Amino acid sequence: MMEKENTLLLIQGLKKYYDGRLVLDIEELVLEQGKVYSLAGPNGAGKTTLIRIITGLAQPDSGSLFFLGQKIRYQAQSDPHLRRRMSLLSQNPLLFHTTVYNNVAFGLKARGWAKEELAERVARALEAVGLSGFAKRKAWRLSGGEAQRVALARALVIDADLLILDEPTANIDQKSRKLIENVVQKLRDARKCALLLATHDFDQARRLSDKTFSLYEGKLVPSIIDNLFEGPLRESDGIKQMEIAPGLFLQVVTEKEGLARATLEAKDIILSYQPFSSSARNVLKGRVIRTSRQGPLVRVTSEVKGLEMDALITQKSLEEMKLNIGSEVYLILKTSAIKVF
Amino acid sequence: MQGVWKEAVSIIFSGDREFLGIILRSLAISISAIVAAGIVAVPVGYSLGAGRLKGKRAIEVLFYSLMAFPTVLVGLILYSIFSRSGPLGALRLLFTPEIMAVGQFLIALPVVVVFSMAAVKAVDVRVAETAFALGAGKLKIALTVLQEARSAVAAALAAGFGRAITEVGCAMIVGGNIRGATRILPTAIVLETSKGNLDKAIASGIVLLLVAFPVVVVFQILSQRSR
Repeated sequence: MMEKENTLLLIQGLKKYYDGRLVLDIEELVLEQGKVYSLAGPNGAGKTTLIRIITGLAQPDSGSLFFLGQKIRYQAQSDPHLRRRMSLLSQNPLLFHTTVYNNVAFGLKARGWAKEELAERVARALEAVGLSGFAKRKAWRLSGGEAQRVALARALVIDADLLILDEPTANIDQKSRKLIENVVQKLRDARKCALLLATHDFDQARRLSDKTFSLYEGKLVPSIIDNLFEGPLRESDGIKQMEIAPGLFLQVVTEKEGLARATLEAKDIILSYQPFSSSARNVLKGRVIRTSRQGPLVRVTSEVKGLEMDALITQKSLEEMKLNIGSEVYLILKTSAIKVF
Repeated sequence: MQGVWKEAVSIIFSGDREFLGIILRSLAISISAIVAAGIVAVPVGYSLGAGRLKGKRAIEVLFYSLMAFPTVLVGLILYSIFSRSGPLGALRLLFTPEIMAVGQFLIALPVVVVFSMAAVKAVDVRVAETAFALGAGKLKIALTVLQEARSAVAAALAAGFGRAITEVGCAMIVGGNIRGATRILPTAIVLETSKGNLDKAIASGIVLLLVAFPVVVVFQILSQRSR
């Protein structure tokens, strides 16, 4: 692929093995300058491995990565030139055993910033994460949420071209989570740097990013993995069907044959009390087993022949349909929304 | 016996110039040795603890073995090298405080290397990774890791200092225990015990302990203060 003018990161033919097992296999991935991307996938999908390769913490076994048009050279890690244009907030960030100030200023010092400029920038970064006045505090005395915000300030202060946040809101309190999401939203609005947000929360991915890359078992998949199906494909009368559970078939559109996987976003499932006549080819009968709030929407999980399927509906729809745990519902799946891979 | 201890205590507080000279000489030689050992051994310990050197395992085993190397043999080797007929005899370093410091440096070196290496290995791997991801170069990463391991590195230096200042075999051979020139606390203890001056030997022993302990405490305080 030809690099566009605003291409920030280009990944081509990337493969990574652990103990002989292929854990990452990405044909191509492009990040453009100033955009916010999500890297969504369940735990173990390869998100952290990909981030480690982008940031130079791990080497790919094959493939190439180009950052700002320059090939990232893994043999010359001592040259921090390209690395210094990226910034990372890792999944389980570590704060150095010193003050909050020294932690936040670390990246600036590594880049040779003058001492006089540090204080102002550090103060601004701490303010952005709601921790003004924390500069002199000992890092090891902070709560989990505060520590995560300091780590975010440490990543933000650098003003990198690419800011990578690996599960920044996992295992922290609601207040810190909201604050971090606000920071991401502000960054998205400012468009000063590109942002890659790794998350296993598909709703968060959808809300915060311009584009979501879904990763499953090391591979990019065509849509958000709210619902993942697997089964053999069969064709009869020119219609392809995937047997997703014994005796349960989904009509799909694909050129593929044999065993395949398919994803369907929760927003593409319609819930109804009764089957109604429509263009949708897949109507399945299920029973509601769980509901959970997701911002303004409600995620309704239904069980269909032993399979769990998630649908996103509005709070008002939930109330009007009077859906409760155990309610029988019909799930209407649009065939064209089912992505087979 | 009680009288001997009383005598020993009174010697310590007598302000005897020769005794004071022995204490200061001991400190000067051992501090020089540990400073030099720290400059060499801490980076070596870091490389072994954090790096992916070829033959790293063999080097580790070598340093572990050197920790048990008899100090009297260190003295003998130095003596053979620096004696008049030895290859470096022309330097006329034998029976000087300088060669005693060299001996103590060699004795402390493996201790500081091994302990520093263990200190670096114990540091959370995320320290180096975080420094790397934040744009630090190799030197900055090393300094950050050592900074995180500072208490354990201070302990390594303290252990090396303790081994150096209490060592007697090498000091006797290369220093010669010359009064007013190369006599230090451990060699004074040996001499006074052999002469039957138990009070003087005990006085030197008490001072040796009193000198060694505070230095270790100072190392610890310095490591805490930098936090």
